[in-house]
Amino acid sequence: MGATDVVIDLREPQRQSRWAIAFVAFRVVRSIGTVQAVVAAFFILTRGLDGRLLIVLPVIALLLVTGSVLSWWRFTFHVVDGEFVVRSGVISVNRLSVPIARIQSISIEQELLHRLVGTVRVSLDTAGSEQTEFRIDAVPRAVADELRRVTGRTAPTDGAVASDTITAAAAATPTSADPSRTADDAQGEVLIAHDLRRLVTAALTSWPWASLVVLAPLFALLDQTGNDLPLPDIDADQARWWWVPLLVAGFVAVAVALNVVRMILQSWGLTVHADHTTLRRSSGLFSRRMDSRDATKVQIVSTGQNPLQRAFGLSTVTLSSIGDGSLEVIGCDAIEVDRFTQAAGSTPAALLAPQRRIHPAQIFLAVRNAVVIAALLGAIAALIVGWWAALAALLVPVTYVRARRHVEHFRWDATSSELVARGRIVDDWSRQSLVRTTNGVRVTRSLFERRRDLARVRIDTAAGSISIGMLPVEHATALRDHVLAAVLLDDDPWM
Amino acid sequence: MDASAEKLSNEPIDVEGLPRLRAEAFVSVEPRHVLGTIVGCMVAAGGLLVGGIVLNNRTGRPAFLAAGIAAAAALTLSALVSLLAARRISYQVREHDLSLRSGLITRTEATVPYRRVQHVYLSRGLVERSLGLASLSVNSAGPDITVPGLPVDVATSLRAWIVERTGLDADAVVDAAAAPGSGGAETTEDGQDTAPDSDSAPPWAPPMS
Repeated sequence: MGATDVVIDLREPQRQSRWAIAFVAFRVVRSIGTVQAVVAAFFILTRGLDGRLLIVLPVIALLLVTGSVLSWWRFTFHVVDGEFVVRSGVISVNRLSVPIARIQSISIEQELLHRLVGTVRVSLDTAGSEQTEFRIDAVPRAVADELRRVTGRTAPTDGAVASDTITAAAAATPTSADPSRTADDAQGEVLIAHDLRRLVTAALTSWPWASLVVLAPLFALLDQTGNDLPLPDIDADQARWWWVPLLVAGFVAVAVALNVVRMILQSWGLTVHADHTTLRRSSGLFSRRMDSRDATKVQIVSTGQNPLQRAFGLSTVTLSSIGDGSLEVIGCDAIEVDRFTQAAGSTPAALLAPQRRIHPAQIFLAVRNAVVIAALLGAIAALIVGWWAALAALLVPVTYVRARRHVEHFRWDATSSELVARGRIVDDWSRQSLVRTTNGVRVTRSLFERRRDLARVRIDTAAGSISIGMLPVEHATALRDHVLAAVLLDDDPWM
Repeated sequence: MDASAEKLSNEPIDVEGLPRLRAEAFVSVEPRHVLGTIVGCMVAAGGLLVGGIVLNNRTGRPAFLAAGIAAAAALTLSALVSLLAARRISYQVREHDLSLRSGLITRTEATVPYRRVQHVYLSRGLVERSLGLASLSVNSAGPDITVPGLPVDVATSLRAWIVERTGLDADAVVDAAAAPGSGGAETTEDGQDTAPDSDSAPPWAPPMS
């Protein structure tokens, strides 16, 4: 149940930690507007407290505290008759309930503030929408652990054993890389545990552009204050051509450095546990987050590998299940990819060697479309930029190279239980789906495809789709019939 | 994992032995369901044409007339395409899934297994009500299928058939058609009222046994 001796009975209505009162008050202030609150505080500090403010301010503070306390007091949650029930509301009472079996995932997040007061934030997600349905802040850790246990996202205490491969691999995996992990983190078999060296390698080999998001506020600030900064005044004739590559290199270096920092902050102590049919991913330096997914509800397993990652033998693996998010693990080596894939009930990549190709007519179609688009773009651009519009013609050779690489590298196949597709244009990618989890199949034939007896098949699951075009029509219909037969024979509860 | 290991079977499959969608078993829907669209397009085309003529006469600028003619021609073409596309829509009901074939230039066959159906939606707009037709939407957690232009009795029977096959309860059945005077969506729980006895056969024989 976790590292606690306190017995939690979730059949009794539970409340958040008392710290939730402060959290609620903060949320109310934030909903009014943090900027407005700061401006008001500034106004009061500069103007001083006069007679009216001396009355109004305590009244506002009293209302805020009273409302927060009442909100905390009226918010309860419990589990009864296989349903997770949340009651809330001071004046009008809301009752939200969801069958435990319909809960797709449970996440436990511990931000820095939560760590200081010893609480966590619990998010429960169902298939009802793409957003998280239940989010409860400031929950005592013991209650969160019990909630996770009750919703079936942890193993019986006697320890369920994973497959031999996983167990053997896990035995050789270090489990004490991060002293900040709780005893609960250490439950179950460890599939993946990234140390600092692996994280830095993963950060250096992944595309760094995501980290540039943090620069957006900086650019906005520069935009406002740029005229006041003591920047040197440079004339155009003083500029040198080699400044451009230097600036680009500097920009990339900053992006990479930020990415390393981001990776360390977000993925510190990244660990994946397999525990009966549950997969748990936990990571984070200051804000620690733990996501749990039922392995039997994973719909699609995706892997990605850019050229740099290929050189270092690392991949990013994503398990997509219905609900608000996927379970993604960066910087996995080949063994970890196989281990993680197998834990999700899919066949390791090494055992799946898809050989079927798509028709090379794809190249002609792509180039033909590119010629039409380039001609249209060029004609419109010629009116504006003159002969520079000829650059639109570059679209054609670029499309040709992309389409040719796609046709050369794309492979797909269907086994009795899975559909797999792989490809490479710049990055390597693969997607595999358990066909029994399919929600619908589409066979589409455009005019171009009909003339060549070709078709496109799209397999839709609740967590995404796999689409394969330019197939011989008999392969497309056979694949559809195979998928429908697999759905018919499926007895597993997956949603 | 034990459960995972059990699922890791990759036996060869006999593709030839699989049940197949039969092209001849598709049933066409009533193309009249696009009558509202066609009438709307033609009225709009007439209005634009008249507007173009009036503006041309008042301002003496033939560009208005040209624009009116072009817009009217585009709307007429759109109405024609709608009619032709409606004639291409057909569906096939099998024991375990529902398929819809559609598309004028790009042709699509979409199939949703009953086991994956989340809810069924029956709707009747103003034009459909006057023509005795209905549309049936079958929604899963992934793709959805909407079969337009079904005779009302077929639509209600088909809905009951799907509800029975999916094991959906009445809460999952949405019947906009049953709401008096409405063409919009209103949830009722009358799925049981319109459903025939489960012992009685549906009004058609499922083509696959």
